[in-house]
Amino acid sequence: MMTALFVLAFLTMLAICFGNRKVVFLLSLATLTAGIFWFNHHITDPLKLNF
Amino acid sequence: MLLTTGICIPLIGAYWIQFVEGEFPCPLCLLQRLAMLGVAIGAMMNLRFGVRTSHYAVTIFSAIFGAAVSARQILLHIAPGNPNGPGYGSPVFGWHLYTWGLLIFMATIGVVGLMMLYEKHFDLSTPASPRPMSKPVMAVCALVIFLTAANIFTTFLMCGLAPCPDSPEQYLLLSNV
Repeated sequence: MMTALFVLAFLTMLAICFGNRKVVFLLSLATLTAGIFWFNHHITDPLKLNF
Repeated sequence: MLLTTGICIPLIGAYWIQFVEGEFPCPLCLLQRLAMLGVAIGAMMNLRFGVRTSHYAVTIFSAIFGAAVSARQILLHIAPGNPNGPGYGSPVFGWHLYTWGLLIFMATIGVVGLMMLYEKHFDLSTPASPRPMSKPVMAVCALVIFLTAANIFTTFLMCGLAPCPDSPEQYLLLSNV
């Protein structure tokens, strides 16, 4: 669900505040990946496009 | 600092549209808000750990994702004679929010490109470690974190634990109370 995406972004920002750079990169990658996956699964896939 | 502050403007504007104009964000709109927060994350990393190309990469990847979502939403509504009405939401200064979103994301990529031309502000002699932030920087970061928390709250109110409706018209959790 979409709220979880924002929660991931929030956790990333908390990691920035705590100063843990590796965790920040991991969480920002997770946030972006989750966003791309959500976009693909809910928007692009249902269209059944033929590239 | 400028990038972090600048990206707060459309995020605050989106809330103005949501609460003052009463227009709810669709799932694609929420994804664009998320992408803007991703842009802010890269900029905040520069403020916290020092300027690095890897931090700019986070901003650029988020902006590319946001641009893709904005473009998708533009293509959904751009054809005239749409039975659902012209576009999604009311236009602001003649363009819909998702069109402004595409412009903002492309401008972000351009601005980051320009900033990366200026090599002097990449101080690679010092390691990328947490450094103290000044009060204005802390205030801007606090604003971004507040906007993220607000998005968690309002998205949860609007959608609950279910997938968000394509054209939301109410806060689902409040309507069930």
